[in-house]
Amino acid sequence: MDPLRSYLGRILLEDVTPVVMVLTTPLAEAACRKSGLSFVDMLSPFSLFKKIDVPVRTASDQPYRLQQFKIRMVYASDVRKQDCEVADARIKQVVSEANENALPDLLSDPPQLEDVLKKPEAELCPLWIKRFNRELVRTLSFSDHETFDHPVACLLVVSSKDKEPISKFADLFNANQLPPLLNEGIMDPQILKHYLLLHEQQDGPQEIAVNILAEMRTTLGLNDCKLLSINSSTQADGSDADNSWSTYKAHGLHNHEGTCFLNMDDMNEIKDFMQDFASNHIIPYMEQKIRVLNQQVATTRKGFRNQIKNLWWRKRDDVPEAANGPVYTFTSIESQIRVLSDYAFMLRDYELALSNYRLLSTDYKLDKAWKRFAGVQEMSGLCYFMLDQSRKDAEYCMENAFTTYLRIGSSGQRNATRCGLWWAEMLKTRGQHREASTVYFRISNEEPSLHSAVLLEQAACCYLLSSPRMLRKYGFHLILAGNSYYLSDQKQHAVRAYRNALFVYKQNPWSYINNHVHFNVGRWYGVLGIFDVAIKHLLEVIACSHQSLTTQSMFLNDFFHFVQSTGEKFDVYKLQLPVFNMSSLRVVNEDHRTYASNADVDVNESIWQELEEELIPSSSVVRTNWLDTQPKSSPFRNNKACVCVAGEAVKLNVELKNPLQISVNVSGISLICQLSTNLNASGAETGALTTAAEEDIATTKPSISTFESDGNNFTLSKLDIVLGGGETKRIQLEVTPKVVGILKLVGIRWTLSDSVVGYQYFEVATQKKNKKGKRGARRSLNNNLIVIKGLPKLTGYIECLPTKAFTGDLQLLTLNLRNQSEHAVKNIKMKISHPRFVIPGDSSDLDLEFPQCLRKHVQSDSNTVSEGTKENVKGSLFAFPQDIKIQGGATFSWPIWFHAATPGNFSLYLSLYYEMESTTDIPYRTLRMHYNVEILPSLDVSFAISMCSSGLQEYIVRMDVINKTPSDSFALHQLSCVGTKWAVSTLPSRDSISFVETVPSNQAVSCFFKIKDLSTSSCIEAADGSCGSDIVLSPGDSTDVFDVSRTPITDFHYQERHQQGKLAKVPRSLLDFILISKAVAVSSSKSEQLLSHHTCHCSALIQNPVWWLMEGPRTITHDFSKSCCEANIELVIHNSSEHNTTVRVVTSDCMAEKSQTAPSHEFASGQGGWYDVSLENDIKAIASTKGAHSEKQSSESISPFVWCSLSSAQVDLKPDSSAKIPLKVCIFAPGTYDFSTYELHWQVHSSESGQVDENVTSGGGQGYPFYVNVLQGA
Amino acid sequence: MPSPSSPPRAHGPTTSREQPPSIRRAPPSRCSRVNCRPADSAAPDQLPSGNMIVCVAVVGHQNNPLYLQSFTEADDALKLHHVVHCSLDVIDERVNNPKRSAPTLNETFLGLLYPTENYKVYGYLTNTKVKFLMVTTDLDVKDADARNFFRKFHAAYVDAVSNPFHVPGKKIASRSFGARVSTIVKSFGSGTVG
Repeated sequence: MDPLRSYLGRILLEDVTPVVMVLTTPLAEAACRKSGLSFVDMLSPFSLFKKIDVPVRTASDQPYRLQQFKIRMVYASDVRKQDCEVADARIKQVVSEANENALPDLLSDPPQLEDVLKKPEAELCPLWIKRFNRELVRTLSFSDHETFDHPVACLLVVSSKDKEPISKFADLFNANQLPPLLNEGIMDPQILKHYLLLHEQQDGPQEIAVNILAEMRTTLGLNDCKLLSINSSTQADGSDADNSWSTYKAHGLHNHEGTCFLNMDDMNEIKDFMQDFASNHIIPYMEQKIRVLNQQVATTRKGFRNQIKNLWWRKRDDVPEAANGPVYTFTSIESQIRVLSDYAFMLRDYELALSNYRLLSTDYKLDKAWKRFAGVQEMSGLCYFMLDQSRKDAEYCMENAFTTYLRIGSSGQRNATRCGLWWAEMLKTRGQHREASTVYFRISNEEPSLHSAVLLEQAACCYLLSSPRMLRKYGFHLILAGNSYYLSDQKQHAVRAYRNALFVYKQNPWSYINNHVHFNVGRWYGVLGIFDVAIKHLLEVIACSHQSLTTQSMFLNDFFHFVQSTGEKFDVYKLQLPVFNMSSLRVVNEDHRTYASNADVDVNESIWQELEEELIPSSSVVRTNWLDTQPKSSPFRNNKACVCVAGEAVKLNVELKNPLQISVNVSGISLICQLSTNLNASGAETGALTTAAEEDIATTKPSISTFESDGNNFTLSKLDIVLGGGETKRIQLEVTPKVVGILKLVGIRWTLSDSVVGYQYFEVATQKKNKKGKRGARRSLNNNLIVIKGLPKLTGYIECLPTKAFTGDLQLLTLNLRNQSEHAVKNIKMKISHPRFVIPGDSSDLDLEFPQCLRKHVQSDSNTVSEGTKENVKGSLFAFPQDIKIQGGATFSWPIWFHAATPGNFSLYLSLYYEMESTTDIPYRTLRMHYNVEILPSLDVSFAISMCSSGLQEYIVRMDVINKTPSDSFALHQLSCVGTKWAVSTLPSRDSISFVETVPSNQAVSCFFKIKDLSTSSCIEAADGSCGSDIVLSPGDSTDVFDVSRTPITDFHYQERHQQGKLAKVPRSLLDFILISKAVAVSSSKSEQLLSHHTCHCSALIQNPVWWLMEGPRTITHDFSKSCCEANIELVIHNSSEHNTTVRVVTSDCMAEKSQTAPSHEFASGQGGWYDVSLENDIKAIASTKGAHSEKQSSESISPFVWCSLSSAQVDLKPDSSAKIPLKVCIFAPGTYDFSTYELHWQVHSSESGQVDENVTSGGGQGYPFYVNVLQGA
Repeated sequence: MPSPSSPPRAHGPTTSREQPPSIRRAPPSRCSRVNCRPADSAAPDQLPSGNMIVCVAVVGHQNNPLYLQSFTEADDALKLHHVVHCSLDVIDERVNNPKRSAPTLNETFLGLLYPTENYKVYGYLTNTKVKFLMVTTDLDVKDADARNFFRKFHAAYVDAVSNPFHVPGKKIASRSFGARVSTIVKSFGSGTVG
């Protein structure tokens, strides 16, 4: 690219041009004022010559032609350094003017990436930025270290009305009024002078002026005087005159008064004058000056000798070191070289300029005149650029100049900026945008915030233009620029910069930055008063969960502030505060299924269906095959649509979450619904209609106001909540349709902090029909509901059902039902999921007083009842008596027994079925109830049963009760054996040992009982009243016994037995126990709490099929002097197995030794070990010890007794039968004898012997100790 | 006769690179305080003396931030976000113009990315196009140190994403990763190479 045609080239051609200093008299100026212009203004349109075509010959002999040329006309008073503040104010004005243009742009949408990329380069860097740059450069005009701003010529203007015009000219160029540059000796005051006589045509004929001109020519010089006639137009504001000047208005000259006395002739005259002035005076003068100076430089500085001399001279002269280097006057050779090179530059002899700049730069460097050095470097860089030679050198020079300016501190700061601007332009011209942006960024650091903002914006543009594009840096620099704009109070620009950066951060999850940008854009829009856009941007950030608390509250406060500033409620689609979790959405509509409470809805439908299998009539649910069409008569049997009942609320559960750490106030949460009442259309048509409506909503998203008119057809619930920081709440919204039709749930609306209305539509799953494979796999939101006519509805609850109970807790509860409609319901049935826990009672139970009703003295024909209920309980389906109808508005109660069977958490499901009295769309409904019960462990009861060796069909029972509660105590009340077969009694020693009746927390208690089989044994005690199936453990009244065979307990026992039987695989179960205990109430107000523990399928620890017992006299008195004693004893053997058994009894005498020592060893070891021996035996043994001891010692050696009848006997026993084997013992001496030296061997003959275990089929056992005291008779 | 003195070093082009422009203005400190001008002297004072790394970041292959942790007391998260975000441009440029890095085709260490006025940003690119960035105030970092740092950092990252509960492409929330990174950061520059 030709550097002259580049932007920088054009700037340099326009800005680095000869300056003409203008000096005018007040009258001359006043003449121009008539047209509303100053003199300089009047001439300036004509100071640019597009086609001047002047031959120029500078130092070289080869002339060249200048095509374009410009001279700068400046008043002498302006030829001085500009005041900093004035300059800054002017720059600020440039920026502010651009503000006004930016405003409509701000109302549009922020630009996207494509928009920005499409923009031409010129638009990215708008005109006002270029103007800004030039103004910034212009602040450095007329600096003392550069000469291209020094006036080349001086134009002295005197009006023809001035008296003594000749002397006026002399006065004008009076030293006192001259600019400081000339006065201070920095500049040569001997410059080209040009004298102009300004004549107004209106004032009179031109002759006077011509006369004065002639006089001037004689005194001031022939060629240097000119006459200029203006204001020829007589008409003050001629239309053609206006037009003629208006073409020059583009130059920024505004004719304020709208009047102009210049006509075309005047302008032509000015044009000719300027042309002549430039081509005939200024350029030749400069040529001449260049040649003179060049000659001078050549003589003093060129050549080896001069160089050496120069160095020598400088070396010697560097003693007076000034801060800014030595002061150079215009006479110094350095200044002259500078003038030479600047003139050469202005006349575009860049090679000459460059060679002299280089010469000069070494001089300045040696002199350490850094500012001048930098200036020279800068110019040589520009020369390199204009010559389009070595790019490297150009950059090197510019960088050198830049760093040098920066190094000298504040005085070079603005120069550095100018240098940077040129440098950046140079880089941009060569396409090195990245480097240019770096330069812009560097200079932006040196400038006040407003300037730096503009510079940063240019840096950002460069990043966008660079290849590859650096969008992130573009964004970053725009943000920096925007920030600087904001600091310098240019909000429009700040918004513009931020907005332009928005797209950079949009798609990236750089949320911190994105939030910052959106927030600031929003805030500044708010400050500018554009609230809707402000709110739009702030909406993006108010739901930021990752920001800190203070940031969040700041976002929110500003948001609400702007919303309130608008003074109206805002409707925001998909407001993100709070966040509605649409996946948690659940519509609860009650068709034939009704629910007792909201929690019951969440129960899986399959649980209910399983429960209700037997309950609901099968015809309506079972379809024989899928081809069966639904009956046409019921319009609501649409396969997709759900049904709801008019007058009953449709509930919608949804979760909402507050993403912020601040609590927010959400009010008026309600549904958006539509209810169309035309039910005439067939199902297919309605389907089509609704889908069309869905699409309509999905595409257009109508504003919420369209849905507000339906108030007559349904009522909506409104909910106000306060969501704490980070809180998630589940809410329930209701809509109650009033008329029959199709109800459509469209969305949710809510009000945030009373100022912003948010609304959101439900996204309807539209792919229902497209995906065949996944039908029904996931629950899609069905938002269309068919409203049918009102139906009777039962509501119900179980009164006082405990949520926590101890194991075994037995309670009488009441099921309360209420019919809210006018119509009666009938044929009520109920099914309970856990009949082990809950059993419906009898209607008569309702009035009973618990627990007194369970006591035994309330005798009734309970057995028959229990038989009847047992059948019902088996299926856990309970049908209320047929005659029970619940009339409209009536309530109905039914007793319910509750028993906490086992510890754990249980969900109780109850389903009530009822039919309508009148015919309706739905023939029946169900009421579903669900309760969670936590059952805590209380008493842990276990029984250990062992066979009693002292009695047939008797068992010793050890009951271990452990209280597992941490704090509660229980009083044991009653132990019952179930059924009439068994009798339970305490051990005889009970009276002597104090009985434990309460079990404190974390304590264990063991009790011993004896149980007796009443059915087989011919026990005498059976007749006895003292021995029954119940035993009262509490010390109170013995009649205070609960009847375990009455309805609730026996029913629960039946369930327990059923349940425990499934778990315990005991081969033979003997009996079931029920332990009834009472909680020791801490507070007396509490009603008596009854606990019943059922332990079923208890069995003896050792299960021998054969049970034997020695019977015979315990004490024999015999006179051994006569003969040996014969004792007749019997061995009773009982077969308790279910099969025939052969038992063989073997007696032996040789085991006498062992049998004698065994008991003595037992005494020696005391009570250390547990033996499977009855207590009764032990006590006897201890009692007999005193007497037997001495005898035993003596009879050690001899055999004390001999079995005398038989050594072996065998009997066959049928199941559950007993036999007696008579045995005879011959005793030779008095003493105590243990007749245990016999063994039993048995063999069980099972019918299917192959399957019976070996251990069970045969076995044997030692005889039990049987002590007989034989005394010497008298 | 005195010989011509050589030009001062300060004028050479190399010095200008050694001497960055004077620090006069810090980038915007944070979003909330935009209206108050950042204090000129604030930036250098805020930096902890012993620790030269002010920020480390992991950026996913779609240029999404996976982890960004600053180690300054000052509330300059936004600034560091910006610095890291901008550095991605440089990484993109390096990756897309491999002519300069032809001999180092498999080199993961990207070197100095972005010398800003107070920071230097170093980068590292894994084979899965995950970027690691380190922002330091130490203007004279040895390449070996930086390499070593990134090697450790990479190892920590690999361990963190090997966690079966980590969702690829999501932010790294592992606390142990954070702890490990801060140890690596603390050990940086202490001279332990290896």
